[in-house]
Amino acid sequence: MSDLSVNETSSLLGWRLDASGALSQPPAPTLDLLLEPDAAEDLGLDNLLHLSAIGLVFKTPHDGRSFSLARRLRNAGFQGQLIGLGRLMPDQARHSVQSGLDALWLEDDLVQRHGIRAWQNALNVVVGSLYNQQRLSAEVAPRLAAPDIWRRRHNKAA
Amino acid sequence: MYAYDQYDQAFVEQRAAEFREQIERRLSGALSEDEFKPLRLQNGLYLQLHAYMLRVAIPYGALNARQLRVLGDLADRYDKGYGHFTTRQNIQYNWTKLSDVADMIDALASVQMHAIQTSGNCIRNVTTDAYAGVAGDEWLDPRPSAELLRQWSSLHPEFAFLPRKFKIAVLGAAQDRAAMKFHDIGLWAKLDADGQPQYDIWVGGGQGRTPRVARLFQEAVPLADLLPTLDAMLRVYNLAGRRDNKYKARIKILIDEMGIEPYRLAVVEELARVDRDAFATAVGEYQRIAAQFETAQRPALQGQKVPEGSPEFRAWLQQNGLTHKVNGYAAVSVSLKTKGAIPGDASGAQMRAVADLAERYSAGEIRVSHRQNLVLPWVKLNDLETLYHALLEQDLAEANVGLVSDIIACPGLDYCALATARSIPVAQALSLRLRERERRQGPIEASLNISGCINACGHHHAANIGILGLNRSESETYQISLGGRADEGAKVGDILGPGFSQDQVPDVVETLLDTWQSLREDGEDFSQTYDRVGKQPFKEAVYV
Ligand code: HEM
Ligand code: SF4
Repeated sequence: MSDLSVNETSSLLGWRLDASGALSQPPAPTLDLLLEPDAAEDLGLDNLLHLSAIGLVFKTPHDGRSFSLARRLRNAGFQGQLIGLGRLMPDQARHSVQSGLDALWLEDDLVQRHGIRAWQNALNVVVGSLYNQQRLSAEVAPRLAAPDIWRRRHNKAA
Repeated sequence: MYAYDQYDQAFVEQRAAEFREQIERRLSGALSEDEFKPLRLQNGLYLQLHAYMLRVAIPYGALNARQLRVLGDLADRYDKGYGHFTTRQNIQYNWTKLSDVADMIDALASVQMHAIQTSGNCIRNVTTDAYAGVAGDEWLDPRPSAELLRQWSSLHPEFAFLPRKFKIAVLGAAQDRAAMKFHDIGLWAKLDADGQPQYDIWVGGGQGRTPRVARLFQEAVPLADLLPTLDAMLRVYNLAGRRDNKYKARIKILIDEMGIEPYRLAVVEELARVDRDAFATAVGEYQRIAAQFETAQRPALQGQKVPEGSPEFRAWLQQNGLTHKVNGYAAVSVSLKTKGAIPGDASGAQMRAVADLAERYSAGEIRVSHRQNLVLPWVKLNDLETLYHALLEQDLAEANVGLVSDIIACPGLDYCALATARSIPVAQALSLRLRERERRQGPIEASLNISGCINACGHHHAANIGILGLNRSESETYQISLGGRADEGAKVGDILGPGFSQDQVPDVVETLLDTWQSLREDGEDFSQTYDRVGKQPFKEAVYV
């Protein structure tokens, strides 16, 4: 674990990909904690639940632990913001939102390398609706309210 | 059978469009190979020795005639006229071009098929008994459970980047015909006192370089708890599984290192947090799916009788037929292990021919078995002899299903980038030799499996006689193991001793069979004899 120095992040040129699919360049997010997957176990879930914004670090494009951390936090009732950072691909934006994240904070060179278009497209070209969707971020849920396929089949609200 | 509704159809079409776009970004260079790799693997696309290989899912091994025809057409159009049926109810095309793959996926989507999660570190194609719904010893059709799992796991956002691949098999019969205990999770479906599904959950089976028979995780889990439990089991694995060494990343190693009890406790803790509400539709969905399979079942028939036929016909039926759950029908296997053949290979023409025969004689249904054969599950007894002659014309009537010549083999060094030795030529040489032996001796009921490297795709650990191709000081050598089995008494075979050259393998296998046959007591199968007498007599016979 390391506390995020806000100054450090603000100096980075970065992009925000929202759960709605919008890509923008606002100031860097203020985070209470930058959560590395290796540190998660020792931190204890209960100590995290009161925070208002947690950055979830993705170390490589192959490491999906932070998706599970997001899901565990949402399952435990975490109400704050979950922001993904690190080596993500546009193709993982959907996994992030569907695992309960609110947004991704992306360094400029990562955005440039995949191309701005790929990031703008990241939540358009993907399969939008799963068969079985677990709890989304409370902020995101009302905006992406298409219920999952099983709910639609069985006429249940999201 | 299960038929897609508009949601299923839209789902595979969207995934096809998404993958087309990913391929375009790779071709344009926007995606590096390192980034493209997990994306292509999650859609069954491998980079092999000579070309890309596309692995297509045949969920729980079930195909209709239209689907099999399209698989045959893909073989002709985009491969060299062949497809390779694997041990996990998939079909592989070994010679595809990256620029063709998107069109292949579209063709699959047009017949309710896909390549979703046939590779990659995600939940793979869920497999089951090839005789599901028709086997005489079945207490619950496993296909509705498998379809429920297919939907739940398809594009699962959280479990797409696991430490390693994750294989699930479901079973609903007394006999294990799906190697359930060699899977990361095996589900043994049974009925509770009220006739509702419940599951014994087994965990941590696998082959590869550290073969493990699965351990019992929990008995009698009710249907309503199945997905929440799997969800918790996978989350614990995703977070705690090793990522520092890909050979130690499977759940079997986590359970070795952590212990089954601590793993169970971690899952219980995780399960307490799971949002049950999210899974509230699962039981209703299971029932919707199960109803489709039930209406596709056929009623019993009167007046059906097995034709007298020729001795060859009777021998074929005896060997390749299975007692059917429903009166008036038989389920018959179509062997893809003709004398000298490449195990699991079928030509485009053969696939179309089997599709035609399925339409005429098997209610349009075909199954793919984990022993790399096809099954026609609904043949009327009166039609059996006509079907036999039609199969004979296609060179598909070899009467050897379940015999020692019914060899499982992986592609090995002829195609596979990971191989250390060839497996196809070894399988072919053995097929010639063993088919000849069976002609002299009659049926020889033992299993023989071959892998071209320690990854064990050819299930060599789980065979009565297992053959593993290795490369030792520039030459291929074949290590033999004995006494493995993949059924409900699953067991990993014991290594016999130093390996043999490719030329020696057929003689060695015959010596092993001679030894078994000479030691065998009444009615014993290979495993029973082996368990009784041990390795020593076999060792003495081959290392003289
Ligand atoms: C040709 C390309 C293939 C490649 C690159 C490949 C790769 C691998 C690797 C690396 C493993 C070891 C995984 C581990 O231990 O963690 C493995 C296991 C396995 N593969 Fe393959 N494989 C290929 C083809 C096949 C084929 C053709 C089949 C079926 C005939 C198959 C079925 C299996 C099975 C059943 C296992 C062992 C079960 C287990 O996962 O523990 N694979 N494969
Ligand atoms: S066992 Fe080895 S050689 Fe055979 S397919 Fe698997 S990885 Fe390739």
